[in-house]
Amino acid sequence: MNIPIELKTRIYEHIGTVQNHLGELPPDEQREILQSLETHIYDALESRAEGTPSSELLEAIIAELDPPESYGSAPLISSSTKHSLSPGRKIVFFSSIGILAVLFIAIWLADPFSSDWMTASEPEPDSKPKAVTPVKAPPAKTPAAGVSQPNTPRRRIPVGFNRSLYVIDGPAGKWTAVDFVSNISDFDPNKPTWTGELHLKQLHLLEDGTTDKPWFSWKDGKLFHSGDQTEAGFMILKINHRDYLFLEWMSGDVVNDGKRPKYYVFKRGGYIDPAKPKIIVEGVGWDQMQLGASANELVTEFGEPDTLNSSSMSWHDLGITSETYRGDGTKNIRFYKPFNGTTSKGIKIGSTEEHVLKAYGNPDYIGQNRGILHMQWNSGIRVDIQSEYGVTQISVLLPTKP
Amino acid sequence: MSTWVTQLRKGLMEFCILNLLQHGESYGYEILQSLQKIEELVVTDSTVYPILSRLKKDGYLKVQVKPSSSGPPRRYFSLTALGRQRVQEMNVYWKSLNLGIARLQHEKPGGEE
Repeated sequence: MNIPIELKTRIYEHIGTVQNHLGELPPDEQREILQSLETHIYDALESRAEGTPSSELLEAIIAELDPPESYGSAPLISSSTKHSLSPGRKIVFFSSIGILAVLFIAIWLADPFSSDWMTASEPEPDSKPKAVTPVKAPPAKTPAAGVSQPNTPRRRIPVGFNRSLYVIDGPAGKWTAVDFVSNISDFDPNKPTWTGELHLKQLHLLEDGTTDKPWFSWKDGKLFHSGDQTEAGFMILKINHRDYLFLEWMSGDVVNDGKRPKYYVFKRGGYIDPAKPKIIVEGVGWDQMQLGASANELVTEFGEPDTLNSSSMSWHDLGITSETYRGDGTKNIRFYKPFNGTTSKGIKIGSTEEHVLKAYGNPDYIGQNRGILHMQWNSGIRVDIQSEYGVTQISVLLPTKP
Repeated sequence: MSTWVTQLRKGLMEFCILNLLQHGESYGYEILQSLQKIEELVVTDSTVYPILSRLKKDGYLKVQVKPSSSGPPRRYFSLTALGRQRVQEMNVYWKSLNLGIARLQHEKPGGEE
């Protein structure tokens, strides 16, 4: 059953209201009751809706439920210690306060006399970040009625870093996990602390508040887990001009034992499965790295580039450069070491000239410059060959008519 | 009268849930619908779900989570060994109580029919 995000939001709103009246109960009993209530609503929707349920049906089902305050006075409930906040919520609350305090101190130490700390100076490359710039997560585009939206934060691009090719902001988009840290301040983009496998490899936050994981939805800097009935905060911090999303990880230790959450750290861009073969198609490109793609699309898929100027973007760890003309889509894609894919005819970085000619036949264009042999075919591919290294670069171009 | 009925219903709810689950596992919404067939009980969500939670906490019920096509995973409740023992004891007591009450309804005070 497909539940629109507006209805999900309404369901959680109702469950949240009920939770407010369960303060007398221990957290585990609260969770039990809320989980039962949540599945009750979904089951009722499924039993009555044909296809996608309407908001009218949901409102009717909620209206049939007992009023939220009646849960707190239900019969046969053993009394227990009062909780103004459940342990999990206390942890989230106090850790949020702590994080904000640490950020404030870090920012103040970096530039204590500046009244405009959103403008950071260019740091040394590869240095451990000295200061981070928090970017408040804007809400999804379809907030529930009556929910106020915070203003989009003002953000200045530091001098010397040209981002004019793309404008990516806010949490919506693809994120790839890069680390898992105990504290936000532990994160260093150049030295990941987590050496094991990151089970949550990608998180795709869609504009409508849904995600690529059916059990997750998001809104206003919070990620909701429909199954576990948890709410995890997230925030985006800018470190060395790149956006990193820090997500509280609501493990059993946090939810059940009230421990402080650790953080998944994500960078922009989709997860690239290293085991999946990478095939370069002549005149097209590889995967979403395609001719005609806009800079925004490429950043959404592959993350923020390592180098950027007015006409190209490069991802060093992938070994790819996309060349464009301002606002006119990708015109040329260059693949080089460490790119480990092949062309559709089996040519890869390091292939010999003989191998290339056998695969593609005589080129439609051939030239030489500074010891590098250039061979190009009208199908939309070009290779650069150096005698001692073989193929050093494969370029995908628009096909040309013979 | 109404207070007496309310108190009686409250006391019977746990008894009815345990009896229902004697016949197999069930999830919250299904349990609620089954109990609502006894109109006199006037069962609602705010009474059943807290009781299910408490019965689980007391060790009479266990929960198994299974995927659901409707949305979040369903939580299937079933009796534990302790729960089975409890419902047997309750049924014995209920039967005995019923007999006693039936006798009272037909006897004059002092034991004469």
